[in-house]
Amino acid sequence: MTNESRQAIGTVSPLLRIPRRNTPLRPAPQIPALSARAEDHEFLQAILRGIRDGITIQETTGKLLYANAVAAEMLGYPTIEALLAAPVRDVVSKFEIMDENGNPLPLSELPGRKALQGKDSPEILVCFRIVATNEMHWSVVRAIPIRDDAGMITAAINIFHDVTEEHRQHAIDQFLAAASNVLSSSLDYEKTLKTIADLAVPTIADWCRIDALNEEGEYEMFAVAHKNPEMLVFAKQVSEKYPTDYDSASGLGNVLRTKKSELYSHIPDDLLAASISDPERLALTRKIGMQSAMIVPMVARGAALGAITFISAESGIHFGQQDLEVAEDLAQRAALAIDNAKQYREVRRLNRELEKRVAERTVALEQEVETRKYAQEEERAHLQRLKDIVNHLPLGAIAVDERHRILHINRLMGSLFPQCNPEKFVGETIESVFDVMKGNTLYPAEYYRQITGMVERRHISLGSEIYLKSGTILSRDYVPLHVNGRYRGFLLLYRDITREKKIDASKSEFMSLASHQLRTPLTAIRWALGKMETSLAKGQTGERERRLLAESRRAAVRMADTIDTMLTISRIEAGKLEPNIQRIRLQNLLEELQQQFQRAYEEKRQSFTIHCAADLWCENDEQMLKEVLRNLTHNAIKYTPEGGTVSLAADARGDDIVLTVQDTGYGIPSYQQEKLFSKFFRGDNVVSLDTNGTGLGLYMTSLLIRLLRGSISFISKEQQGTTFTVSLPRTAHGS
Amino acid sequence: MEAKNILIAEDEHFLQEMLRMLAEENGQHVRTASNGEEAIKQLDELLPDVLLLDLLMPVVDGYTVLRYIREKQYQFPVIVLSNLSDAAQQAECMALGAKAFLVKSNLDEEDLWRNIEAQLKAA
Repeated sequence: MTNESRQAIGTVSPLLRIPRRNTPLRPAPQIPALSARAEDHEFLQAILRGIRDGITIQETTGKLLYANAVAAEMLGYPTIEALLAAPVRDVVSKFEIMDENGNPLPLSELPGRKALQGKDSPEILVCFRIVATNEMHWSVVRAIPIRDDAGMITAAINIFHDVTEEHRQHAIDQFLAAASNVLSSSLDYEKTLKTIADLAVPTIADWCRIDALNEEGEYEMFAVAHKNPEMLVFAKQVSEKYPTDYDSASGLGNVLRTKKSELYSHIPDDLLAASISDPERLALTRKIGMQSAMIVPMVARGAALGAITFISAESGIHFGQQDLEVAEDLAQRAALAIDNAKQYREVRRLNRELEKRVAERTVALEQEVETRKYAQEEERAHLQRLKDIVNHLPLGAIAVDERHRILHINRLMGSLFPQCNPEKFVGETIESVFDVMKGNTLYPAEYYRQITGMVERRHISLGSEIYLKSGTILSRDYVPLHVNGRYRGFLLLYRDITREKKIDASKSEFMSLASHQLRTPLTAIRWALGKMETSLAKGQTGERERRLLAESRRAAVRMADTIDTMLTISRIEAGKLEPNIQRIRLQNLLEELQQQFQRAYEEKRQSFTIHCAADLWCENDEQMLKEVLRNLTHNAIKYTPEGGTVSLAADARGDDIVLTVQDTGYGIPSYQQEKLFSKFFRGDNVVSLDTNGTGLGLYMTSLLIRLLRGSISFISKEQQGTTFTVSLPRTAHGS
Repeated sequence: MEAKNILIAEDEHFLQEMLRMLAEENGQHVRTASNGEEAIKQLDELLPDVLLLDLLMPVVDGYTVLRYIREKQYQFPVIVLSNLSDAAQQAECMALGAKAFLVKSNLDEEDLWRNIEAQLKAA
């Protein structure tokens, strides 16, 4: 386009909405009256040829009297002559006329027609669509009436100033402005891309297609636009049948890969045929009527986010470098918009993610806090339980940390060592407690040596014994405390073993006594046997030998009794003897005893009586009860002088049965009574044998009575006698 | 050695009998008591040359007898025959004036006689 013509466009700018230049309309060119003068004619021709606008002269009938070459070309005729020769109908049918908004424009509205009718005819913007090629041409059309001398309008001069390029440029500018607006207005780029594609047709191209990366990072067609919905349906069918090849060596694939635009200004059919091998696809593609195409990448931060494909078909536009620049400009803006949107989305996503994580973390933290709180409470409760346990241990306990600081002293510790006040010593060093304890012990130096040795060596030490001045004997265990394999201090446990020690001593004393008890008759037997040996050697077998044999036999029987008693005691102590409860008729039992001891009391000329109601009974172990009464009766006879009396009686007293063994014997000396009593009741298994076998027998008796759920007591006066009283529950369920 | 008087205080009849035989076979005069009370009565009457004294006897025990002898300041030797070999018991008896402390379960006839003889000679 020439500068002049641009200038001319300037004059029609209001129609194109290009800012109006404040200049007056140029006066219409002075067309000289048609003259026969050849020179003038030639001159005129030269001028008209020089004008780049189309010029026609139309008479009132509509027939063209004149047209220049530009006009012929604009109207689609190869030559001026062809145009002039063509009937008006033909000329008109070659194109459609539209106004600047694309609406059909009646011929009567053309300035030439108006001018011929003498109407005012302002210049207008007209779009000519050449039916044959679909090409669109935009022209500013003016008409000037030609009057004859009488002032009658005889013809009109039409001047077509082609503004196709300008119009397109303007449309592009508008499009770009609109596109920019759209792109910047929304972050919903999928929608935006559709709008852009819609805006692009038909201004920029007949088809506009936009491909971009989807959420999965794969290319996908986001938008396709064509002004005709039917064509869109067609395009959709094609794309469904032939999916887009994003890896293609040329075209879209190449553009996306190389991030370089491709421009196909002219697409001749043979090029199509060459590039599309599938005949059906080729046929379908041909149907689109592709004339020109350009594919521009949308690149942001070095990455191809997609591409915009513009295709010119029915409009017949052939994209040029300028169009490509426009397209690239658009693609650039779109890329930025997409990138922004994506970044925004990413930011939003991250933000949401972050918020979600924060929320999750918050919940988790709250839960953790709750859990910890709970755990702490649990721990505290657990600790309290442990402390309670430690406090109620039947042991004195001191817990000490690795720096010898006292962590805990339990209650019993305070009673074992009265100075060991927990409140006073917790937090102090264990050594300060040792100092206090040392003062209580019988062998302080030894005590101190032991305890410090243990603490230094950190070796578990069990059962060391400490003798307190008070007579109490303590066992002390030293237990190092390791937490997760690390030495964290130690625990000292003190147990009062005074009683156990005494019991132990009694037990060994008992064993010793029992052994001697058995050996004493053995001594006599041994002597007797020795004497009989001598007698036999001498052939003496008289009264003396007979007596020795009888005594030996009796001694052996007594030993067997003693052994039985010891075994019984041992079985009771081991818990192996269980009462066999049955109904006992007490009168029978007493009579049996009387029979058993008849020889013994008759030898001592004692009287022996029993008192018992005939129907009196109790539920208990008969053998055990018999053993008890046998022991008591044996003692009664033994400790009652000749001529005395032994009485056995059974009676009911409430829910109990009371059995008494009474004698008129020597009685138990009062100083021994206490001892005897304590022999029975002092300890679980404490006994010392004071008299010949009696202790053992009485001890067993006391054990048996306990098994029988009964009790025993006695009254004794020296030289008057002794009465033992045994109380038993009458029934098996009684107490 | 001329016959001496030996008092045997032992409640266990068989052992008492054996002790009596031992003493008589060795040509001594023997008296017996079956409890501490009898023993005291006899030693007051007899003033024996030696007393064999069991510790654990009914009515009156051996300790009481020892205390009685010390009270009366009798000078005859006392040989205690104990059921058990208990150091404390032995010490107590010696403190009460016993000359010897023998444990019955280990008692050997010859040992016992040597002891009795020794006490008789010393007296």
